[in-house]
Amino acid sequence: MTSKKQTLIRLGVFLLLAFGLAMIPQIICLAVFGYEKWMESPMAVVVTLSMFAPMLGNILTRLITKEGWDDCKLRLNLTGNLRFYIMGALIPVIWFLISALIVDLVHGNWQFEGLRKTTFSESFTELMMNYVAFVPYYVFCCFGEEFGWRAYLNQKLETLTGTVGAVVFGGAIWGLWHGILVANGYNFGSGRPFLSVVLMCVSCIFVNASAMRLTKKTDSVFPATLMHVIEDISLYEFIFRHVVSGVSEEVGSKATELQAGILLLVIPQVMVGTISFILLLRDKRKKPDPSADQAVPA
Amino acid sequence: MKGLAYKELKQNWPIIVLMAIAPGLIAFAGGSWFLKYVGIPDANGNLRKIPFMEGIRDEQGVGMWICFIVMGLVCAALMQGTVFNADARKSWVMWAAASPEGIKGSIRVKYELTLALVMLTMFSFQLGDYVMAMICAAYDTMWLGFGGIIIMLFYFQLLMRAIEIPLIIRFGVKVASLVKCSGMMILAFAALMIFSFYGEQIIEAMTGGVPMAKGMIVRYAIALQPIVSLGAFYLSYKISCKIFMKGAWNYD
Repeated sequence: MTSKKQTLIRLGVFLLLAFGLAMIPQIICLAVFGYEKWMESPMAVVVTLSMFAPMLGNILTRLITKEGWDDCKLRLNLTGNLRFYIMGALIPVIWFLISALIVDLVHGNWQFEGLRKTTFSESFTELMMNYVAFVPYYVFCCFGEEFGWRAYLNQKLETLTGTVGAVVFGGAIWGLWHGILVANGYNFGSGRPFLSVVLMCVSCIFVNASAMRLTKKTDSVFPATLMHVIEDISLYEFIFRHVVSGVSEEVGSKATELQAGILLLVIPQVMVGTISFILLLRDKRKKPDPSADQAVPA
Repeated sequence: MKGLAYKELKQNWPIIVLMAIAPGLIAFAGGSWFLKYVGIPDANGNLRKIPFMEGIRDEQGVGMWICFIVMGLVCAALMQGTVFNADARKSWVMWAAASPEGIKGSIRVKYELTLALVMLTMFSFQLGDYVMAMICAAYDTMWLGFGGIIIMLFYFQLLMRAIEIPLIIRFGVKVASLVKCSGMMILAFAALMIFSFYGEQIIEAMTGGVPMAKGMIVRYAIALQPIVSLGAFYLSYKISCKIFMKGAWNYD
């Protein structure tokens, strides 16, 4: 069997497991409760648990196909790479700052009342107690996704389609994996399932570019996990409260979930993701050709 | 490094599996069982049995659940300690020092596993909390949720491991256990004193009910907990690397 065919089979097994393990419980919950009731009930924990499906997919595929445990990207590799960990934590902060500043630009008054009204002590303790303290819990959940997408899917796709293909196809697959939730109202509201899934795929492609660069630079899934965690701890609430000012309630109430999703996720993620994508391609060009080292000198 | 990680996983897999299930099970299933079938002594010393759904609204019942969370935590702590206890032998230290990864590599893998186990304990508690919420939802009752307490206990547990591990490495398991027990007693006494003076403020600061300026010290203490715990854990790793060889001469 050629190695390309073998990679394709492994990828197929992984996708079957990652999608199946996540989607089957989601479909059952959706059929039993309906989306709204499901999300309000404690059964919403199924969404959290399905984040482990890609991780299980990675582990089970390696076991089923007897692939071994090479290139698991499980080492922290902190030495010399601390800046990428910091970058991983800052990228979501930049997303939320961009969207908050866009809201200010369009509807606000640039007074930054939230910043002026709260003292450093209040903001600091709130940030630590309500957001940062919960990071370890989210690390556990987000690692479930990153260990599947970044430490398996992207690697396989890169050998098949190259770096650009891995970013685009990997992101699109990641977006489709959220399909059931997104089509029913998660992130972009209900009513336009097809558009929501497309937007999610676009968002995931650009986030994938950032995550893939962090993973490749550090040879570890943990900086990408940190990025995912900071996105998931709802830090945007804190940033919006401090940065956005002068937006009337009327404007807020008129905004649809779709508009909010595009503003909060798609626009900033495309902006930051494009930079990451350019840097990723630049890194690839900079990397010396391994075959050059093996060349026998004349 | 991969070999060391493999060795740790192979050696500790029963603990890893137990850690994913036991703390949550002890905390919530154990707590529910105790309240329903054993009961809590009332003012007259008679045992008052509290059915599951009433326990949620009962102040004493909730207190008992918190006690069971702490019990789950103690069990988890005992299991986490075995990661280092199992290798407290002179021959292993010599082997680890001679391995290509050296002392640092060997200790780092153990610290990483300990961190993963502490996180697994927290996840087990959270899962138990979710299950309780699901059961309550089935009976149309609102579950209180112990998420905040669980997170605080996670950092506390990390701090405890940060103190305990260098002691095990330097003095061996027996002396470390003795020092740990004494330390725990002093700490429990200090906690009791602090709680008796600032108890209300701590609870109100956690629930956001106290005015900012009034509860600022308590709020800062809680807010800085993640930084202190994680910093202590890293410092503990650095100290352990330094004292590893010295401690080896105390091992059997």
